[in-house]
Amino acid sequence: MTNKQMVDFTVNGDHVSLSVKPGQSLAELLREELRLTGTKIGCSEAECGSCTVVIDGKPVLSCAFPALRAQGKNVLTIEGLSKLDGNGDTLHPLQQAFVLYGAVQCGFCIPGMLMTAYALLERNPDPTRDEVHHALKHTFCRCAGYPTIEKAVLAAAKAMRNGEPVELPELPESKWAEQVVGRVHVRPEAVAKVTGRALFTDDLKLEDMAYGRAKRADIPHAIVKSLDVSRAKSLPGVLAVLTAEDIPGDHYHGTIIRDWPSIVGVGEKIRYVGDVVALVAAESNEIATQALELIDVGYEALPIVSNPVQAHESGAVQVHDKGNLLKHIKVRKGDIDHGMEGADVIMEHTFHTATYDHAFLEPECSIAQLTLDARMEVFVGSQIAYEDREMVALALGWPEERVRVIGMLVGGGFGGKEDITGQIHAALLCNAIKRPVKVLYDRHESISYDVKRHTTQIRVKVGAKNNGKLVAVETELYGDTGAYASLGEAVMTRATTHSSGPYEMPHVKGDCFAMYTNNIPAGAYRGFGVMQSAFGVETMMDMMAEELEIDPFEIRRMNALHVGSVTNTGQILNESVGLLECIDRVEDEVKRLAGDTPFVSHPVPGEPNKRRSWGIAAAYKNTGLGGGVPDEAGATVELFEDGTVESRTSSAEIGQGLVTVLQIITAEELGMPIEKVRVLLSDTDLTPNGGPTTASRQTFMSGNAVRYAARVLRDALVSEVAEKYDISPKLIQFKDGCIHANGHTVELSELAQEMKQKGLDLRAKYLYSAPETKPLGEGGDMHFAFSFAVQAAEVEVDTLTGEVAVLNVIAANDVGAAINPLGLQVQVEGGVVMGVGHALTEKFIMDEGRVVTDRLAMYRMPNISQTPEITSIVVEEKVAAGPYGAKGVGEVVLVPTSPAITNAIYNAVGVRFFEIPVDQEIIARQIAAKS
Amino acid sequence: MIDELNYSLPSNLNDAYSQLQEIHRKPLAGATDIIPRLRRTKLPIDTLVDISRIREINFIREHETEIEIGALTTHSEITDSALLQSTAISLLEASASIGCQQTRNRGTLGGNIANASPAADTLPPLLTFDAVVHLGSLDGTREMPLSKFLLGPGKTGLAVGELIEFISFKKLNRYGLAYVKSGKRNGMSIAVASAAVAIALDDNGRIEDIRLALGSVASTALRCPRAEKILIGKPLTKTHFKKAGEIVYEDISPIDDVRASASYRRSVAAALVMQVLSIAEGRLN
Ligand SMILES: Cc1cc2nc3c(=O)[nH]c(=O)nc-3n(C[C@H](O)[C@H](O)[C@H](O)COP(=O)(O)OP(=O)(O)OC[C@H]3O[C@@H](n4cnc5c(N)ncnc54)[C@H](O)[C@@H]3O)c2cc1C
Ligand code: FES
Ligand code: FES
Repeated sequence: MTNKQMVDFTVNGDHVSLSVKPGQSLAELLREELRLTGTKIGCSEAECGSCTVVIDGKPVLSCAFPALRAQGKNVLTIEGLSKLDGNGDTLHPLQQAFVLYGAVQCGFCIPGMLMTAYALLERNPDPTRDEVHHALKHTFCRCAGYPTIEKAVLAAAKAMRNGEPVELPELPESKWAEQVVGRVHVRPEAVAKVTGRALFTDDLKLEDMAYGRAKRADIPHAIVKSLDVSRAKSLPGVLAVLTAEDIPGDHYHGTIIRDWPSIVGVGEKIRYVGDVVALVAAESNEIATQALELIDVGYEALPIVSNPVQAHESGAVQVHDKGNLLKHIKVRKGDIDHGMEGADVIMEHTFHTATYDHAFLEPECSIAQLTLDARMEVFVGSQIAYEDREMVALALGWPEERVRVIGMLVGGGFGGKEDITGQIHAALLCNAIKRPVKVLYDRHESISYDVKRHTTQIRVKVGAKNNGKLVAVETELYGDTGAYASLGEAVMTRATTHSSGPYEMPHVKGDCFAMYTNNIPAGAYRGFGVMQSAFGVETMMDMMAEELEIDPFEIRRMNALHVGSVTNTGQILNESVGLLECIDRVEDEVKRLAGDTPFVSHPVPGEPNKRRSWGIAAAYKNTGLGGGVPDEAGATVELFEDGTVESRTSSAEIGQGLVTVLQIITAEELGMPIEKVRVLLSDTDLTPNGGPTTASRQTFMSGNAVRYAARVLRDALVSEVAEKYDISPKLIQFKDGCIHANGHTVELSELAQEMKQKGLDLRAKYLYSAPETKPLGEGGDMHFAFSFAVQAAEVEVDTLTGEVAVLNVIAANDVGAAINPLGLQVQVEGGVVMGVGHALTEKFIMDEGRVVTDRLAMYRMPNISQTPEITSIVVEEKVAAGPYGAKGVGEVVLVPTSPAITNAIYNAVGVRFFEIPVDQEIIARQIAAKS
Repeated sequence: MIDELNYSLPSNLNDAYSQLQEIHRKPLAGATDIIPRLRRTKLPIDTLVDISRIREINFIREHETEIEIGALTTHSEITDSALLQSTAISLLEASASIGCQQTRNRGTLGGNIANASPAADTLPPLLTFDAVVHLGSLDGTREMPLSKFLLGPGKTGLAVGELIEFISFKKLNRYGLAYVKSGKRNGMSIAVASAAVAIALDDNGRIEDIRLALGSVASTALRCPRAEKILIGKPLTKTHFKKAGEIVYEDISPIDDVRASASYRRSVAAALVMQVLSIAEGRLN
């Protein structure tokens, strides 16, 4: 039994013979030795399915498969799937179908998903829907276009059985469709994602690269008393151990407030378990991991505060010197006392929402390298490249120009890749050892230490007239921002301003206390606080409806915001308020499916213990930063001599389909085929700042920037042609990649060559500024656009065990204009599925500042078999300033799902929830108590 | 650390036994459980003896009155077996309910038993079969009832140098069999509770023999003797099913943890008992 052993096997038809370490997994071998990086590692705990490969016809989790066991076997990876018919670039029907149906979003799970599906179809060429669910049940997709994935698998199966091309999906186009805009287009990067060629940060292996890891405190509140890194330093293979003293520049980072130490020094304070006390760089990740255990740290433990309400009490343990209050946020409108006095009915309840993990499948990864001209390059899949540049430069004590952030694909973000993760650490280590350094979080690190969704407590007091008209609402929110500010202030502001729901409300008083605690920091997360407050207010709407004996649709309809309404922050809505249409269309669809009494509890034939019913909820969500923050995005559009165009902006493709949107807009503006447009994102040297990829803003902001940049380019081309043929610019048209001018036709490529020869610049730049917004409290427009949504959910509840299944969700979203219908469909599906998870199964649990759910196995995100039937209704109330009328959609899709589900549970079994996720124990207990 | 482990791949039982002579050497079957565990925690193991290629203990065999299943039989093989479909449907249901396709393809019956997890799915049905565990080592073979083999979470009667070779049980031709589990909740991936039953009637339609076993409600999977006793001689009625559920509710003493409170586990177990009994009833004849 020697330590290293030989293994011989076949990979994608090629015979390989390698020496491997006994414990090495097949996934590592494929990725690190054979450089087949299409196989992804999402967890290394046999939980996510991303690493699935097919061995002798069977799907296998390669992260838990000892490499040595591959001896003599036939391994098929994603790289081999397209090669199968002997014709290099021919995609397998499954790959074709995933591309055509839009099943690919961020793409990280896709190789594993495809290999699992491939093994299924090899075994069963004609699977039923249930069989597809059964086979794909444990291969997770957090972007969660599960219904589309299912359709794609079935379409591929059919094509394979019949030997015909994959049938195209049927999807309605935008009612505002133009030549390119609003029509169905596949993602340009989808082919790379289905073939395993798409590169995420961890797929890069630079020459001479070292591996960095962080020593975490694992104690929630303490003073660092002593730190001894000598044992770690002397471990063979360790290249550097850095402590706080070794940071050349600023010690703190943070998205809004810089209060988060990159490394905590001796004598300084640990504020949560994930605080870092030292960094290690070593020849391998394993050595770095071993070195962490050789670092000796002495702590003086401090008492902790782990709850935002307690944190606000006088005498509470103080997390920061300035106190525990990050921000007191106030919303005032009318006169709340007067309003309540005028109410016939007043109801008041307190709600709680849990902490949630983003659980993107790609763990955080950064690579830093020094260039020959002494600049620092950081490769990272981040949502805010320019801010990363600023933070890295600050930490190094360098001017920003010496840092370049190169955005890689983002394997899911959902807000969780806005804060700094390993970027600064990688750069510090790289600077210390003058070698490239990769800092890759393992799943344990990602789930245990990286930012989460704000836990909230929300008290809602609503006053209404007997006829159902709402007159006043008072809310009091507590948000747990954890140890550091991150985006806490912005998130909880959004929670507060949206806490009275999408309703006309004459008198409003909202107070929010965003509090520091010794819990994990909370930051941006799809829905940005609004998801939390919607749970409170939408539950109250149903309770009020019941109290007043008014239909749940009707009470929302009679109070709904519409054009001309004034929001609770004093903004007059002048346009683009599609809420009423959302309500009407969801009502029609629910009644079509469930008859006239959808909210009545129905028995389930043959299942005496089960009850079914529907529930609804409404929501709105701002697009863009708003609140008086100047919101800008820059873009460059360049024409090349071969007639292609490249659009560039520094905003992130996090799975939402931004690349497609920008490609569509460019092609529309320049009247050219979409295939001739390339999009380059997130490289701080090459792309202008597009601002943060947050607040559902990129379609609007980067979309507008690219659109106007394309127009600048177009104008330049027009004047060139007008001069050349001496005709009026008005007569010039762009079509099919050509310019038509009064009988003349010039190809873009031709014109580009001519202009180039004249030395003319074929690049156009534009800095788009969003319409001005006002800070909270000043009245006026706090946001330049809002998206609206209504969802209805049908649940089935087991009255004995309390288990809940969501059977159907009807989701209507007012998106302004559906620029990219294929992308919209999967965004809606993914948002609803995430909402189902938030309502029912997901919960990040901390106990006295320590993480309980520290593995993916303990964080239950929904799989394909928990996915309801999802009907998407697209409402398109254009917003004038948006590109072609579009506004944001990425977040609002998730906001109403949880309350729609909890309202449905109440309608089915009479158990009201004031807390999510729903605890099935409570359902079982309350039902048992009643009977 | 996992990278420092030694590894061997014996191709027959004898080689495996000679390589397993020390306490720090561990057999590796489907590797679905042990590899993720090794990556998470330090286990006192220095060598993995990969037994996955030992053909001798991968079989499903039928004798006149007995069924034997080799330890290396995977959950997928169990699920696909026509023989077990007709003779041990509850075991089939248990194997089919395990993890994902990928895990079922590799995870073995022997590994599931040796793990002795309180939530291991195959254990309740095997307990209702009165299954016997056949162990082998360089010294020869021995056998032990499964109920004696299971000692606690992760604890079994397996000695150093020993392997589970196969399990056996008497055919239960006249019996109605069933397995159900329930309740994936937040913060967990395993069941809140599970239940298996084997039930046979006498000529008068009264319960002649009943074996009821539960998972996830105690430190190991276990039988419920008091509920069984109450049901013997009784007709199959909802009232009696309910009574059995109530006894189970009283008898078990599960623990509170992140996943579920003890009282919830008890009520789910009681509900499952009623459910599994009525499914098994439907399968009689
Ligand atoms: C994602 C995932 C989901 C899972 N879900 C479930 C589930 O729902 N229900 C469930 O019950 N389990 C589940 N498991 C656990 C595990 O897959 C099963 O218990 C499986 O049957 C273990 O078998 P194995 O062959 O893979 O065991 P291994 O990992 O190879 O070994 C497990 C243990 O058994 C010992 N061992 C194995 N074979 C023998 C033998 N013949 N003789 C003596 N000792 C032996 C090993 O030394 C080791 O200690 C899950 C695991 C994963 C990764
Ligand atoms: S990486 Fe293997 S299952 Fe997640
Ligand atoms: S596309 Fe599946 S995780 Fe993003």
